[in-house]
Amino acid sequence: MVKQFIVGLAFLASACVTVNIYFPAAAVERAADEIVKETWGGPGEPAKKEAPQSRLLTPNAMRISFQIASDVYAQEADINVSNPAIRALKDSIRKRSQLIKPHMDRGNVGIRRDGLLAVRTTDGLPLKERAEIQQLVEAENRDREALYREIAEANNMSRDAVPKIKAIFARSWIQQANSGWWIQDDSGTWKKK
Amino acid sequence: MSALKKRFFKAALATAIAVLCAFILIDAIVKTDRFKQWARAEIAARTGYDVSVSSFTMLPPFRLSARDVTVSKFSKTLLQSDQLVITINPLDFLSRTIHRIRLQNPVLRLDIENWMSPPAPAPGALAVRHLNVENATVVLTTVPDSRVEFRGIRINAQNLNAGESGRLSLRAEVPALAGSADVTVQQSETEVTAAVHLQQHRRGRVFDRVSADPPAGSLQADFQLRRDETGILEITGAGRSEAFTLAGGEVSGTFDLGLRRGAASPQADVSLDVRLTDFPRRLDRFPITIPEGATTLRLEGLYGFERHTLEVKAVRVASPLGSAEGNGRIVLQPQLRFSSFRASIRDVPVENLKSFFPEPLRNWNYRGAMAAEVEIEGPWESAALKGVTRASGLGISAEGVSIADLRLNGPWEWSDGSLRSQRLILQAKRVAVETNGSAQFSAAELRFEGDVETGRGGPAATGRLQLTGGRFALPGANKIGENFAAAGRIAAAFDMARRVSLTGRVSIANGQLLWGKFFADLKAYRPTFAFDGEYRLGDDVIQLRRFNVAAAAIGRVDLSGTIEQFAGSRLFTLEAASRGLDAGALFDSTVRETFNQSHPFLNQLKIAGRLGFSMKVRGDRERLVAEGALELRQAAIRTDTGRWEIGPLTLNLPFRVHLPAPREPAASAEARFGRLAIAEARIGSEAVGAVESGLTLWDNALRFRDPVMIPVFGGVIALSHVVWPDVIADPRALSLSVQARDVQLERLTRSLNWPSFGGTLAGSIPRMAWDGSALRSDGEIRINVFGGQARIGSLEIENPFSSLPSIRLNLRFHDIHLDQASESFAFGRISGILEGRFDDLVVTDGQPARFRGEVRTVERSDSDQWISVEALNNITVLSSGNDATALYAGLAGLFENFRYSKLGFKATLRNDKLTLRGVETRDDKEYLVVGSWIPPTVNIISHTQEIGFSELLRRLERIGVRETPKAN
Repeated sequence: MVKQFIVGLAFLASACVTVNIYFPAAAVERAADEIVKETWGGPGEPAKKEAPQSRLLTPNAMRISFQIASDVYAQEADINVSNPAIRALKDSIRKRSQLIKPHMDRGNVGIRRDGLLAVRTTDGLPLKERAEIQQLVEAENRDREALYREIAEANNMSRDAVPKIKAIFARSWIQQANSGWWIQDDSGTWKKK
Repeated sequence: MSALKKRFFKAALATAIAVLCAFILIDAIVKTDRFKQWARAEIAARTGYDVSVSSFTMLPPFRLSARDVTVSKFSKTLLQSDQLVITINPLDFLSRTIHRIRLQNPVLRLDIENWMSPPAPAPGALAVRHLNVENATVVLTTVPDSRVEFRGIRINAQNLNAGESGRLSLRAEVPALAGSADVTVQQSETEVTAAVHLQQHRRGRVFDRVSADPPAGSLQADFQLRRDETGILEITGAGRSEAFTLAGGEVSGTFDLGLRRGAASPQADVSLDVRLTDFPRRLDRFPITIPEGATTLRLEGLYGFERHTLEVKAVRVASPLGSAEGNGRIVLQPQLRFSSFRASIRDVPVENLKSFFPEPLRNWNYRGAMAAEVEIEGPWESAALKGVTRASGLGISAEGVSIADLRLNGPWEWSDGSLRSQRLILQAKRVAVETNGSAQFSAAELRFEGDVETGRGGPAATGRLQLTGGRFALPGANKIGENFAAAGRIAAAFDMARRVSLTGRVSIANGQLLWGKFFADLKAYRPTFAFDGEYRLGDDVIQLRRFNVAAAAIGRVDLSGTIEQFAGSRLFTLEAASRGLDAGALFDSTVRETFNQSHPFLNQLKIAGRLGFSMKVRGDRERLVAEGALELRQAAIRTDTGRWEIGPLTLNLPFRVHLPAPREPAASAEARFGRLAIAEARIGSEAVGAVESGLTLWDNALRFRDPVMIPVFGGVIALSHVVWPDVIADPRALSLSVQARDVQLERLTRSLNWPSFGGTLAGSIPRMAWDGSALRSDGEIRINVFGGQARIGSLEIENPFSSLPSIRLNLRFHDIHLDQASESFAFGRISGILEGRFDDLVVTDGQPARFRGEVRTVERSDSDQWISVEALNNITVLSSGNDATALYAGLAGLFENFRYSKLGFKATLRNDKLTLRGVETRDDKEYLVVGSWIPPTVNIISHTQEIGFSELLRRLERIGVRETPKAN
């Protein structure tokens, strides 16, 4: 009886199932690079005029693997970054970028370490321009946050994935920032790129 | 007792008896009139003075007391004294000396003229060893009938040589100057010389706690009075003081005095030179701190003896406190008085005048000097001054305050303790103020031109105030104002003990205001502030009699009331009212400009109308209640595209708002209800009927008295159970019920420029709630359309006012007659009955974003199932993307319609990908149309199951789904 119990326990232990849900970081990075380039044009480039519809990507954002005792790393496909909401947000960001870039060039607006924009300084600017900058930055940040939420939802990701998407996008916003723009490093210090 | 002792005792007793007898005898003698006559004659013979005494008395041991003594010479009274006591020492008789003379309450009359008279011959000189004078009065006669009195003099002099020819010397204590004076007067036929040396006592003696002895001050002065043979009288004097303590400070310096008077002339030339190297920095009753440095004074004038006037030809003063030149008349008697005295004062450091300023100005630091032209008139105690003051380049600094360049120019008058200045120009450039809370105010230039008066009640100012380049920055993000230019008239009165009042009207001609995200260019509105109020210091109350704010193109707001405990909790009792605010301008300047980036639809809104309100505000900062009514008249809201329009709209909204919300909601009966009336409205081309309802905003809750009935599209939409429990604290918590009845879809679709189709819409949404980002609903809307019914449930509208609105719903429909539907959409004729559902249908930014749908026909005995060639072709194009016109053209030549048994599809849309499956699957083939077993029949099999959204749009464009033109 005891022997049977031990054998059964060993079987149960060896049959324990581990479920790993992998975040498609590489796919999100590719999507982030592409969206940043589409909307803000990349370093020194103007933003692309968006086609009526983005290309369709294979919906394979999240893989669930069932395994025993080891993880399996699946090759990631692209994620979905096209639906009316994402298109509208990208279009909004792209149009607004033309208004924000002059302020980025002058150093009034910088890119925070979380990828959102921040008003660094408005000294010397007319108040009307200060108000415009404030409104532009708020609207831009709101759109970026909404974009991350829509990307997560479009790819069946939970809300927990939004901060990861935001962090990946942050790297793209910073990497593709023009030379001379102000960006915030990991310690929160503003530096000129 | 020995014989010797007895003999001595007897001798002493005899001597005492003899002395006593002698004393009694002398006392008896001196009391006789004969003695008085003898003494009078003897003194007159020896001194030349006539001495009158009422009585003599001997005082032990040998003092002679005389009562009511009068000493006169040449019939002029020189001395009067209540009592004169002469102490006689028999030994002093040998040296012709009186041991002591004591005078009580004497009045000594001196005549300068007599000083120059030759001394009378004195038969014998007498000396006085001690002279004690108590409470003396010296009456100095300068000219006949002109006297100067010095009262309360106390003199203790020793070794006074009286009676000698032309010489008098004395030493006297001068308590008022804390010292003793040695006075020597030498008189000859042609001149009188006087030397005065006044030595102050050292302080810090044995019982003085001050360890270091300050040097004792001294004053040395020599005077000469000379009359020449022509009768010209000259008085010259020179002196020097060293650390002479005067008026609480030490005076060191020299002076020269000159006076020249012609024979029998009533005038004398006067000159005075004073050079002070040290003097008190502060003088009693004169609140000015005098900076260190030498001071010189030179005065030339003409003294009139008869009227006691000094005609100052020129007086020049150079001191660290400034320099001055002046001339005019000074009357010395009977009281000091100025007449037409003019002075030009220059280089007066303002820093040294600040003790005249009221708090807190006297604690500030001043840089620069000012100049003034002054005219003095009247008695010294109440002199009237008037003049003009000029200053430029003054700098002011204090904690939190700085003025780089202050200019001052203005005439003024000072009389009766009041300063009045008319047309005063005060111009300050580069003004900066920073409060403890880090609020910053600055101005490029601040200019005041007007009248200023400082009476006993406090200073008051009336005039024009002008500000240019004004700026402020309040703590916190983005609360800044710049480039302010304002002008207006103000009247301010500062009774620092009781109240500060301010009245005026100021207009802002230019300026930009940034308040968070709100920006306003005030140049467009030119706001004007009219105010009349006061701050009562004792009560700590602000009384606002009137405070009006008017902005061009917007309107005016009037405010009045009180704010009690202003420095503390601030208890408000205010009334505010406005009539005729331009609702459109107010909306454009506040809402649209502030939020149009985040809510682009605001750019499409046009608002018109007149807004008014009246309210009473009471309470403190912790609990504030505003009660009143809001009125909106002739209002209209529309989009600039003309898609919809509401108005004319009239609103009368009584309100009682609490900050924060009340703990207990008020009883409904207490609330006052107003009225909302919409005379007209339009959606597209469809007119909406009149809407009217009672409503109130009471205790923060917005309530409608009755359901709001909106007659539209031939039916009625009723809004009821509108619950907005706290529009202030929780403006996002809103819920309501919606009922729709008999809404005609044809009118609705036409007005929205959709493909037109008939039917009715009805339904009930028991609860529709707004959570701040989405409007969510329970219940469902029923749409009777195409002979069947569609039901919309779980309706949600997300971010309706953002740049990315979306609608989410579930749609179920049944008994839809396809012949009616296909005719409406010009899709090609199809007959049959359709049913289906679309779950989780999301429309974002006007595009379908997601759904799961299933649509299929159902067989009915009363309905045929036919499909036209045109419809077949359109289905083919939609499913495959290929045009089958050629194929169907051949068939169409034989048949116009085909029978089918099933028609429909299953579809999902997600991420721009439409997955289309047939209504039936056989052999891995997806049948969109399954043919009937009775010919002519047709099958349509879809081989393309996934369609990109852009491709779907392209196919829809190809088949050209459109509204079928209706023939009238």
